[in-house]
Amino acid sequence: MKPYKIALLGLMLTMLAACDLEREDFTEIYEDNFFQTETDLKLAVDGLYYDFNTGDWYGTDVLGGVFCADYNGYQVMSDLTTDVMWCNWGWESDEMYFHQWTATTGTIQKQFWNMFAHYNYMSKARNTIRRIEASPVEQSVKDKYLGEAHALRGWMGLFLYDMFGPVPIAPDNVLDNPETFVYLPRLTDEEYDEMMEEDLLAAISLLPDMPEERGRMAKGPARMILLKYYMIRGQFEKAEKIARDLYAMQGQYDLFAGEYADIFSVANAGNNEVILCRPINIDVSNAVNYFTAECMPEDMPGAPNGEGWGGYVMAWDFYDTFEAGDKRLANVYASYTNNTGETVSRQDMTYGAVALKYGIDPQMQGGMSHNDIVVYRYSDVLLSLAELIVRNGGPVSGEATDLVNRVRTRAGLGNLDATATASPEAFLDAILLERGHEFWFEGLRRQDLIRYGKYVEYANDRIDKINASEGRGYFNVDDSHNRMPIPADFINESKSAIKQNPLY
Amino acid sequence: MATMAAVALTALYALAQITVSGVVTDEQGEPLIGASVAEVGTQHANATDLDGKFTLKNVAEGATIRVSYVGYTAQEQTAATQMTFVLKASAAVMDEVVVVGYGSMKKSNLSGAVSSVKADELPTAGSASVGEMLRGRAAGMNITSSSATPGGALNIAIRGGLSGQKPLVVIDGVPQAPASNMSSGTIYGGAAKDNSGLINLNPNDIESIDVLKDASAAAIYGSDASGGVILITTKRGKEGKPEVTYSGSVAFSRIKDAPEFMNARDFMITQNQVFDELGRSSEKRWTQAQIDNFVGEGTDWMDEVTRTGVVNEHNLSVTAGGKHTRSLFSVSYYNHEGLVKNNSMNRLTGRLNVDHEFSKKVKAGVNSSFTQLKYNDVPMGDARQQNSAVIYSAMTFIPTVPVYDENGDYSTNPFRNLYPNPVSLLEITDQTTSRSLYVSGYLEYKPWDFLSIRATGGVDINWTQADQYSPRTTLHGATLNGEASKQNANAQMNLVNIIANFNKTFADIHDLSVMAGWEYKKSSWNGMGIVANDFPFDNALMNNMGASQQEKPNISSYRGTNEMASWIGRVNYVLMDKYILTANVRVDGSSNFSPEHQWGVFPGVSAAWKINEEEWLRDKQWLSTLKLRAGWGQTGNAGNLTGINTYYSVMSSPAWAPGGHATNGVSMAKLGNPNLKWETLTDINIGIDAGFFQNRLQFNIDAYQRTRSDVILSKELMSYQEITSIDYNSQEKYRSRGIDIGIHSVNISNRDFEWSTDLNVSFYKNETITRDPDFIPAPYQPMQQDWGAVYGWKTDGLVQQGQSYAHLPSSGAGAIKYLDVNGYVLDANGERMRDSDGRYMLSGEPDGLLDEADMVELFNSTPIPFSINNTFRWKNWDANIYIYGSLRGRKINDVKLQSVYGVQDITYGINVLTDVANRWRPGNPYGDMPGVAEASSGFNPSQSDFFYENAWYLRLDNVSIGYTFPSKLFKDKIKNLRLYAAARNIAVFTPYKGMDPETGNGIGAYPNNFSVAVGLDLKF
Repeated sequence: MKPYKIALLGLMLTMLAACDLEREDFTEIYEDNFFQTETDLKLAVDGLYYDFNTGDWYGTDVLGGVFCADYNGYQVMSDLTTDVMWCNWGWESDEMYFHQWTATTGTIQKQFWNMFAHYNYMSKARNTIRRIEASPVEQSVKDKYLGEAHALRGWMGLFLYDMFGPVPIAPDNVLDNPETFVYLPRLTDEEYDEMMEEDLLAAISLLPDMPEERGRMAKGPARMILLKYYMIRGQFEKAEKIARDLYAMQGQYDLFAGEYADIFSVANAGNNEVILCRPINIDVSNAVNYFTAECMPEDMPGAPNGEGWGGYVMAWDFYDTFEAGDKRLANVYASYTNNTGETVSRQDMTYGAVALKYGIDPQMQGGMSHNDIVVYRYSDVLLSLAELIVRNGGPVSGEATDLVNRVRTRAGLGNLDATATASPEAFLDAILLERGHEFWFEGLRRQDLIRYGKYVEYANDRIDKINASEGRGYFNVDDSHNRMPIPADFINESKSAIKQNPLY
Repeated sequence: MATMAAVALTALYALAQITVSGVVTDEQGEPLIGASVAEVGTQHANATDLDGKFTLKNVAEGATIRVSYVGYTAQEQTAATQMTFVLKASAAVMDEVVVVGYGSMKKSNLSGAVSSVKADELPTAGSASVGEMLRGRAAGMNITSSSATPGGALNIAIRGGLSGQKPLVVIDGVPQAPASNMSSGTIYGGAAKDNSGLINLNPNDIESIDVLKDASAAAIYGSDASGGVILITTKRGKEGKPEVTYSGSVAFSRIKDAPEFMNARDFMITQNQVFDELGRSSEKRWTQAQIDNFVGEGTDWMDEVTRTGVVNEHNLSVTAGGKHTRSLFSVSYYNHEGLVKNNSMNRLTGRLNVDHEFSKKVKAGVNSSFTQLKYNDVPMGDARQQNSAVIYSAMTFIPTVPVYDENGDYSTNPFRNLYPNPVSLLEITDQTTSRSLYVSGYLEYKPWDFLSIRATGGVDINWTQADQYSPRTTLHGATLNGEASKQNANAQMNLVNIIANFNKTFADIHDLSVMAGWEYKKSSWNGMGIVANDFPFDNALMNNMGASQQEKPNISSYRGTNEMASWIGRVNYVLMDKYILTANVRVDGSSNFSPEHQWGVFPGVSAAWKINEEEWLRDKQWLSTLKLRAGWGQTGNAGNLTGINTYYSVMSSPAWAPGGHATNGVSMAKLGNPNLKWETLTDINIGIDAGFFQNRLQFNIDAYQRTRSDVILSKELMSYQEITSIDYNSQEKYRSRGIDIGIHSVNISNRDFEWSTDLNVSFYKNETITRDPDFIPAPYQPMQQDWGAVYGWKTDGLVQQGQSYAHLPSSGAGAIKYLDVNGYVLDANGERMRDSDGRYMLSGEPDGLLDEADMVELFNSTPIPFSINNTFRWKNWDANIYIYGSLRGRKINDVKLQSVYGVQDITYGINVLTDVANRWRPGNPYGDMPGVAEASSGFNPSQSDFFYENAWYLRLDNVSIGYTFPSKLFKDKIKNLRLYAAARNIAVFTPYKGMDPETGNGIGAYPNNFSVAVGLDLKF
């Protein structure tokens, strides 16, 4: 080889080798290119809504969405562990209905894990808030998205507190050093209160009265979340104040003028009784209503392309507490005619009545219905305010009773009878039952019963009853069950800085 | 004139020709068949026949006749009418040439751990992939099929697979780009496919396969070599007359390991019983009369979805060569109709290898191959409920209904119309076509005998198209009004390298070779996909997706590239043909790391001593080879994790529709770690090669240790962080230690009969030897952990009537009796105490609770790969018996676990294994399978030893017999004709009671098959 050729070759090699090697991936969006425009902020905040999704049936997602329709869902967990909801599938659902779990046993551990694992959302939302604050976008634009982000953080904070009590929350300096292992304990209740108020009061002040699109955060939903939190915390005076703010939004929100059952129909999506919902679009894989399919019997006609999985039912004992003529039973069936024309009667339905919160969507495709999942409604504002007035020492008669009667009237019932208004205790008990009838399968029952101190009591009643009738040998449970146990994985990870809920 | 006459006479005299004939034998007097006999200086040549005899006509008197034969020293004699040649076995009899990466070496001069396999030693009948054929052929390379589907995935683990990387496949010096399986993006997909790169090869094109096992050998491939290297050399053209080779075979296969599920009547009886056992007698669906009057066995769904499999293959290759140009051209066709209906795999390959000598100094060549793979898939996998795939459905679909109902529609499950009819799933169209073009060219310049410079450029391009359609006749398709998916993926790897080789012997005893080079590689990939549903009609399948009425079909696309550059060097020094020293180094740069960490240096050094060449052993007749080898080396691993950048991405699984409008969100997807650097594997290898009695008995034994450090892992951060993992170099260290043993024995060798045996066995142990400082071991977990250890609860049969245990609060009679053997040490506050490793301390006493404290090491399931191969030749007959397997294994019988533990599912009309009849129930207290009570025990039986079974196995993989017709029969018009018959996978010896212990993984595994093949090899 001639020398000049060798030299040329050498030069070529050196040139090639001297360059830094480069990797490209066009699906990655880098930091210096994001949080720069309003669109970026919107995309980031829209990302925060994902976790509250209605999930895919049986959780093909990594974590079931907060509102998924299987056992991992907040609403299912909140009703299936109470007197309202039972399930035809036995096994795990009986574990839930009869509270057969401890801190370590029960297949339900998987659900606890999935629910608790959402707690890093608090860090994600906090980081998003900080990134928005640091972004070069104009302040008025930032405020709009900050309001949503704060409200969403509060929403997740509520869900976690409701299930587990206070969870660990990473302070900013810990978030800034993600590779450092800090073994955080749970917040105290007071610290948690402070965080919740900080987020939700900021949200209430920044957000518009009404959302741009249904499902988005606005003043109403943010107040509703704070109201729920105060009620769970037993801070009834603060709660009453917020409830009154909500009540004052009458006009923007109101009781739906039509039939109770139609509040939940596809046609009435976005009606003004619904304060917060999860909007459904069955083309979006995790924004699908599978809840109806979970409840609808397989042989029930009404949706030519739909399918029912025949799971959740309204337990008979609860069904029997409804007064005659209660319109809220419109979509609850103690018997029905199936698709071969046979009558399926109460005797054939072992566990409970067919209860279709959302009715049957005739356009249902397979297990997918088009009805929005309802989260909070204005009737809850009325019943909560009535309860709070009395809890705060106010009179039963007058405003409080009127509020309850408004809800009863819409249900086609007469006013509360005299025994129900005879004493504050009787009145509060009447409200609890009224709430059960009004909000069945909306995932509020668990927190209501706990607030009344009846969650565990009712569970033991069910256990005693089934043990007596079927000899199932279930164990009784204690007040530990007012909170779900914190999964052992998280306690271990924290080197026991996280303490298990008491009594477990 | 006289002078002229004299000249003419002389010429005439010189041209006087004789006919030479004779015989060629070895030193024992055995004839040597096919030895080449040639008149020196002419093209005039012939070969010996079956008796070792030859005839050469028209040989000039006084000419020299040269006889040569592989493995023997060539001999020359002056031509005579009757000649006898007695050839001596050459000392270099086993001195094959072994490819070692960027060059080749004499096998006797190797100092690293290299296994070589000659392609013609492998039985080919019915095997799709070279990978399948290589199972058990090289000690230390463990190949298992994870699925029995046509073209199904293989796991290739060289030396225990500690690195977690697939082996690098290098074909004729150019590494293959890694391929990946494609996902349809729907609920259905076929089984994982063989993407080792080996499936693209026509096995008949392969000349030899060399496996570089240790880093002293593999380090030359640097960071790509951490999973070991498989070097494949394809056949090339030879000088001489064109040679045409045809081979073809056909094989028929039948299902072999289908688990036994209940027939209709047993199903009805069992379902009624289970309702009773659950205390739900009122829900019983069958009257005694219905059970008694049921006609027949019901539908055997497995039978309905399976068939006789057929494999057809045809290969044709032509080699030709003149003085300057040599070429090989081959085409092949392989078609496998699988056991499951509509499931098939089809491969076409074409290859052209050309070498051309421009001059004594300049040579060039091209290797090119084209492969097309077509798969027709059926839904596979372990999904249950409405996502059930074909096999799981066929096992469990209700046996009381016929395939079609009275309207001719697919029958549904009358208890719960949720499960797809297994036969309906065959209506799903699922086609994947993958085409790859693989071209490399080289130019070699050899200015002097001792120096050559070779430049190679190569390109490997893959185009894959996957199409799927689920019509309305399936439950899933009906739900969505038809669902279609079209996905394509393209990948390309470009490679260029320049390698210089220097080779010279100094003063007769110093044999020095030096190699140096540079290499650059760029890979790129891109693709796109659409999944859409809601079609007005089914008949266009996925071929008219514009017809979809879906508001937001799922669309995606991507593109990425990466780069790698390397400097390579090797020195090989042999002193007196006795002492061998090899040192190599590779400097690799990878774009997986940030600029300051891109480069890594990976050296290797090894030495060997040919002891038998020493004076004091030289005359020992019984000893033919004795070589001691030792090596040390490092390879790098750039990892599969590329997390140097923090980035956001569009969230993958859509979930948000404000106002009902589909809306995308963006979130942080990855936390970057710019400090990420190369992970390193360090190998130590000591080996011994010994051969006795003219190498009729050979041992190759290698002992090794491999340590993996700076392991690139995804570190779990605290679970409260926004991003809960980061790619990092862990302080964990892994270690593998093992021994590979290969024995080759020619048991009998004489003129008529030859029998040889090869035995390979490997022992290894993979361990984690050092942990990260943040690691908290589980209570049962040692800091140094054997990867093969299985931990779980011990069990002791079932809970019987009247028994109750505090630690099993929800276990009724018939539930599994897990054992409470241990508990935690509690402090004064009742909290669990931890030891210095952070692990919970154990009291050693049962504590009335069943939890992690009670888990113990149950088994070790590290395989012991084993194979034994016997080949026989008797006159023109040949035969082969091949057995491979693993001498150790533990495995959960998944199908049984699902069926027994999930027995309550029978109330929804899901069929169960016949084993379920043997469950505990009030009428059968001696049943050894758990009853319905287990499901509500709150414990998961897969965390115990209950469903584990011993799963060592030996597979009688091949028994074949062939006959080679003497070429005389065809008047030499046909050089070679061999007919053969083979039976594959004849028996599996194993205590395992589930499906196939190798391929029967999960609850919906593709059944394995037994097959019979006939074929022929023809050469003319």
